[in-house]
Amino acid sequence: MIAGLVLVAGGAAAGLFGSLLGLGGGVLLVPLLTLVFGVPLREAVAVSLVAVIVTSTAGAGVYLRRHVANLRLGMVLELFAAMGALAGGTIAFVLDEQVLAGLFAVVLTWVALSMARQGRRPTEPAVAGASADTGAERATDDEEPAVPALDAVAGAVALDGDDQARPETLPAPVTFADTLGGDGYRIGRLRFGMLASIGAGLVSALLGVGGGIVKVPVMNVAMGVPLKVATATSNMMIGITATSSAVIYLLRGEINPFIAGPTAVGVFIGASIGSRIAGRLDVRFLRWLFVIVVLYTAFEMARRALGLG
Amino acid sequence: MTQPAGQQATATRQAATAIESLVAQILVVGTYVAVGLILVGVVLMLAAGTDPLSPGAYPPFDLASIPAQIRSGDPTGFIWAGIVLVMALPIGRVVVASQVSV
Repeated sequence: MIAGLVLVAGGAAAGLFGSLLGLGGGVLLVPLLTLVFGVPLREAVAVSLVAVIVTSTAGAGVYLRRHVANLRLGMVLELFAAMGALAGGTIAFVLDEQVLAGLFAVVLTWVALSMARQGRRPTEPAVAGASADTGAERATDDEEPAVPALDAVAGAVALDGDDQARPETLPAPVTFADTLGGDGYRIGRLRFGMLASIGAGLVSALLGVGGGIVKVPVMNVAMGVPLKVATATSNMMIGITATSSAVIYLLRGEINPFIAGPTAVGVFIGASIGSRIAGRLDVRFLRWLFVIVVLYTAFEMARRALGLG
Repeated sequence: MTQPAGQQATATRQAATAIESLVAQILVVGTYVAVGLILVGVVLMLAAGTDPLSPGAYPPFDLASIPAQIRSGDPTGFIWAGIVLVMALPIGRVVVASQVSV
C-alpha cells in the first residue's frame, strides 16, 4: 500500500513541478521512476507515455475550447509525428537501455540549459503547466487566452510581442501551407516542420516525453506560428504522438498497470494543482533549483549509460 | 442563389468553432472519466495491498477480459479501461475533427 501511495505522491510531485516550470511530466517522471524507484528504463518510458497522454489530452481539450490551437496544422503535423513515434516505439525495443539512458542524459542537459537561459531573462511570461486546466483558469481570470508554455524551450524561444508584430490581414491563400495558417499569420517551411515532427515523434517514443521540446520551437521559430498557438497546437499533437508509441509499448507488454495507474493519477492531480497556482507563485527560485536537479539527473543518467550507475 | 464570399467564410469559421468546442468537450470529459476509472483501480489495488514496485510479473493487457475484470472488481480491469480510454481520446479527436475540418 505504501509503495502505491509513494508512486501517487511521486507522480504528483512530477506533475506539480513540471506544471509550475512549464515542463512536460515525462522529463521529470522517467528519471524519478528509474533512479528513485528502480523501475527499468523502458518500463518507465511506457508509464511516462501514459501520464503524458492524460495531461496533454486534458490540456488539448481546454486549448481547443478556447480556440487557441491550430487544429488543421496540428492534424497535418501529427501525422508525421505519429510516424516518428511508431518508428521510435519500434526502435526502443532494439536499442540497449544504456543507449536510451545516454539519450535521456542529452535531452535533460538540453532542458536544463534552456531553463537556465529562461531564468536569466529579466522579464518573462508566466509559465503555466502541462495540464491546460490551467489555461481554462487563466482564460477566466484574464478574459483572454493564457500563454501556457509546455516546456522550457517554449519559453526560451518566446519572442516579445510575437503576436502583435504580425499583420492582421493576409492575402488569399494560394498554396496548401497557406490554408493551414491562422488569424494574422501564415505557415512557412511546412516541409521542414513535417520532418521535425518525425523527429519529435522519435524523441517522444524513445524517451517517454511529449516531444514539445522539438515541436514548439520548430513551429514558432521556423514556421512562423505565434508562440501561444504553437504551444497549444503542440499540446494537442502530443496526445496522438504519445498514443502512437504507447500502443506499441502496450502490445509488447511493457506497460505495468500497477505502476502506470498510481503515477498517472498523481501526475494528473499534481499538474492540475500546479496549473492553478502557477500564476501566483514566483518560480524563479524553483527554476534554478530544478536546473541543478535536472543537471544532476542528467549526470546520473549519463553514469547509467556508461554502465557506472 | 450563391452566398457572398464573406458570408461563406463566416459560416465555415462558425462550423470549425463548433467542431472545436465539441472535440474539446469530448476530450475534457473523457479525460476525467479515464482518470476516474484509473483512480478506482488504484484505490482497489491499494485496498488489496498490492505492492506495485515488487519485482515480478504484472497482469498482461487483454482487451477482451477487461469487462469481466471490472465486473469482478479486479483493480487491473479498471486501470486498463482507463488507460485504453485515455489512449482512445486523441484518436477519437482526430476522427471527429477530420470529418469536418479537413
